Amino acid sequence: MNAPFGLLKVGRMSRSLMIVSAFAVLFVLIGMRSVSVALGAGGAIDVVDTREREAHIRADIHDRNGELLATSVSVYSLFADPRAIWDAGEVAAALGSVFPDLDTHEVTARLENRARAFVWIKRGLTPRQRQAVFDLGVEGLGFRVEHQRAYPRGSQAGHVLGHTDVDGKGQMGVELALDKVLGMAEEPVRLTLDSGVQYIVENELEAAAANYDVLGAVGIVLDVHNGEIRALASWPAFDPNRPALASDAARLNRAVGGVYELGSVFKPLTIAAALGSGGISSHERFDVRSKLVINGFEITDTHEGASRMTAALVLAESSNIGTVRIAERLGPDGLADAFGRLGLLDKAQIEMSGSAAPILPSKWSALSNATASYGHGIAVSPLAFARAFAALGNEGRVPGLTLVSRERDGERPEHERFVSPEIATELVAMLRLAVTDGTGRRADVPGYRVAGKTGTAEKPIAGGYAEDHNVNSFAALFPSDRPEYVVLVVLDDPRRGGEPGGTAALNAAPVAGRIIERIAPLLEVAPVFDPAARSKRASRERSAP
Amino acid sequence: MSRNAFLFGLFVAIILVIGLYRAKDGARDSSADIARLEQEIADAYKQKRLLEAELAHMGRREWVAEYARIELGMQPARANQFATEFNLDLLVGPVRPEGARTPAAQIEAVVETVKEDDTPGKAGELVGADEQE
Repeated sequence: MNAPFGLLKVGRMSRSLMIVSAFAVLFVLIGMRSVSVALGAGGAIDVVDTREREAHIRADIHDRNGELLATSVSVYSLFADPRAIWDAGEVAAALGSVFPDLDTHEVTARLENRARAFVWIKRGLTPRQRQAVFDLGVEGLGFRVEHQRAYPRGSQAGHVLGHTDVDGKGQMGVELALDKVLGMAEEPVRLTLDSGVQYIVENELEAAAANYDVLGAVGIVLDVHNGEIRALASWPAFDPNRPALASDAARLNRAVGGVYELGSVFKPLTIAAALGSGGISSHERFDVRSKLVINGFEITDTHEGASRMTAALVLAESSNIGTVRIAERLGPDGLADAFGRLGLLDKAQIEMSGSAAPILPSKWSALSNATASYGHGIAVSPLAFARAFAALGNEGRVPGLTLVSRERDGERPEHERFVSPEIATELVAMLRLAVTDGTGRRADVPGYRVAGKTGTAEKPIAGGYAEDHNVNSFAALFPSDRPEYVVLVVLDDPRRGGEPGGTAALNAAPVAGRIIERIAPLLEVAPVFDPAARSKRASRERSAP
Repeated sequence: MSRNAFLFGLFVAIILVIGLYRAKDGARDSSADIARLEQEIADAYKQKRLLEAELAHMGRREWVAEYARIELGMQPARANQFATEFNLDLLVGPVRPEGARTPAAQIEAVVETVKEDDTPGKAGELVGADEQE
């Protein structure tokens, strides 16, 4: 009996021990797990990040004063999963009631393709449109938050800014040229443009377009010292918010992508080059009495003046014959070399897409040398010309163009020497004379000491030039005693009542004058009134009929 | 004794574990709060961008200029409306010669004259007297 009892006792003890051991193991495990959880061993905090997963937002574009020119706003894009849609036609019809411009047949076809799990229906929806789609209660549709580029100032600086496609990739202008920078930058990209100056230039171009019925127009304001572009406008205007609606004429940025034979505005460059080479002196007089014939091509002057002119008079009276005589001293190689140093033989280097290459003489012959000296037979972009002209106001150095403010890193483009500071100063004085006593009188603005030159060029046509279609321009430096800015105005085929609109003195010059009068206060150029000039002007106005 | 020490140690360990658990729980809540706040910041930032775009849109210069022209009768400023200290002579005339009386001083002088005379009708000659000077 003892043995069975003993066995039973041992068995009870064994079972108790097993139960206690099991509980002990269980408690140890619970304890270890508690410690593990409490101490967070191997555990990242399991918190759901509720923020929307969005692509990097494209950087804003500001003007030099921090005014917003381009930004990205969140929009909704509608997509569908065709596999979850039973009746594609019905869904397309319902969507068509929300989006009247939607091609329901095309959408039906896309929704019937059950091999695909994702198709875009429409992108860039407003919150109201999104709600309207929600209200349809259709299954198989969804939304994605995307960023759409917006240009809150409408067409202002539209050609400079350019635009992006629906995927946010730059397609034109700064948006294309700085696509990578804008896609990666955290801070806004600051341009050298001044919104106020840009508005005035665009406003005056629009008025000129209405007054002179032009095909196109260009206005540029450039800082002569550092090549920063304060304004760059092309007419017809372009609204980057609606690029698809723009005509080809509106899409063309004529300031950068158009090339023109600009005519007599080239004369100061030719004269400066000749003075710089030592080929002529400023006191020398040139015979302008008789027309010139070079390789059978006649070169004449449109108006009579003195029979022998100094370089200053050649400029003031805009004598073609005098300019050609001066260019002959330089020779074809000399003139081509001078234009090369001015950057006129290459496309303008600028942070903007679509910079056009110039159209140059195939060979720098005596004839091409003669015509190029007064701006014919060579077609350049207005921006490239503005840069070259700025050299006269920048003590003879050609500034590097830029559209992006470099205040932050202090980077400055290199300047190439064109002529000496003395010759540049002399040329500015000649250009001032061309305004006070020459063809540029209508560009003069009391107080702002405008120096400049008119250019009236017949438009090239097949086999020659059109006598009744011109490209008129006015290139100005102001203030002439200490040049700060270049203002260039180009009017393509100005007309009055269907007739040719006359020379640049009658249209481009006054447009430039009005621009200068309005932008000078914004650019902090103070007017200085010269009593002598004032009385001279008053006497001229009194004697005018 | 050792049993008491064991129980005390166990008690302390349990307190520590519970404390750490609470801390972890608090951190979890804080993290959720941070995520929520970050979401709010992102939303506010988005809203700010939209408002800035609207401000730029509403402040378009052509609209401001049109409003100023139609409602306030303003025009772009002409060059002769600006002046520096160097231009004042030409624009508003030379500075009064030294010793010359200001208009206020002229009036005061006339008033003094009137007071001295103190006769009826003299006050009516104030303007004429001023103009003659």
